[in-house]
Amino acid sequence: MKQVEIIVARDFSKTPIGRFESDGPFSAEVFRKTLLIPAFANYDVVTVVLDGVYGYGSSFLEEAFGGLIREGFLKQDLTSRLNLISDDDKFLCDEILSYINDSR
Amino acid sequence: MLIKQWAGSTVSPEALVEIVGYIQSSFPKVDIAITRDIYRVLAELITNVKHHAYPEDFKNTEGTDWKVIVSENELGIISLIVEDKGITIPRSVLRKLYSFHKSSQLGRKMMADDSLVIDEAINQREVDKKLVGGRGKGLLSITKLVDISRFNSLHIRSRNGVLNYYGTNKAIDLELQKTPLDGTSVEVRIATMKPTA
Repeated sequence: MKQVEIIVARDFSKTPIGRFESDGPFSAEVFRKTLLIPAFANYDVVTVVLDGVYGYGSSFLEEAFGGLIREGFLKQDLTSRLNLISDDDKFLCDEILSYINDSR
Repeated sequence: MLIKQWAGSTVSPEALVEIVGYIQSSFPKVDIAITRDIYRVLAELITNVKHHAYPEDFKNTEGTDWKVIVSENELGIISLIVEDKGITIPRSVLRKLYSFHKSSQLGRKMMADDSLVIDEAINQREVDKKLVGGRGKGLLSITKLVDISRFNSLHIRSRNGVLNYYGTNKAIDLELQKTPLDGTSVEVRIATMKPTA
């Protein structure tokens, strides 16, 4: 089973902000397109380490992860292959899963 | 009262990092989790301003799109305000946030989505929920931070009214009267110790 780990603070930015690419280089859409989608395309399990950043706006989280559903990923497949780690904020993983489940 | 202001027009992290740094240095007792939530709120509200406050047909007469004001009162409560002079939050948003939390208090579940109701109110029509996808939920996510006691309260003021939110099972006030405010002001209040400086 092929696995990959994405550490947001190391691999993307310590200052994620914005929803769309037009919001800037640290936006959720850029994160999804450059890191999440390639990871899911090439690996069976994707671990995302959320710690070490300044913080996440809800629109960033919704667009990054809920946006995968709008890109065509299936909810069950996505949640079974996505491993979220957040020691900084115990509510963060559940919040992300709710955005995936509520995405339309 | 300690007070400092920032203003800008873009959704860039530099100003937010500066604001968080200011709060950390002025209020060293503020927990690191709270500073993450402050960044989170700022990121959310400034992104909201960019996406909703200034539609194409709305003329922004200000030099900047948003302003952030940090102050502290004599009780050691930090106030963090994000202001814009845009189209303002419609009455229906305030009403729906109020209804959402009132229904939650009564044990009912009700879906609300900031973006949907903003678009609905601005455009005076029912929007296609499929088209707007998962946009919104920013203000709701901030009320949840009040619910888990990260913040003391949330205060939303628009040209059309005022909403004061103090957390689950606590008072929520809604006044749907015209206010003299241009645009929108969203304030979170955070209890902390006195600043060292």
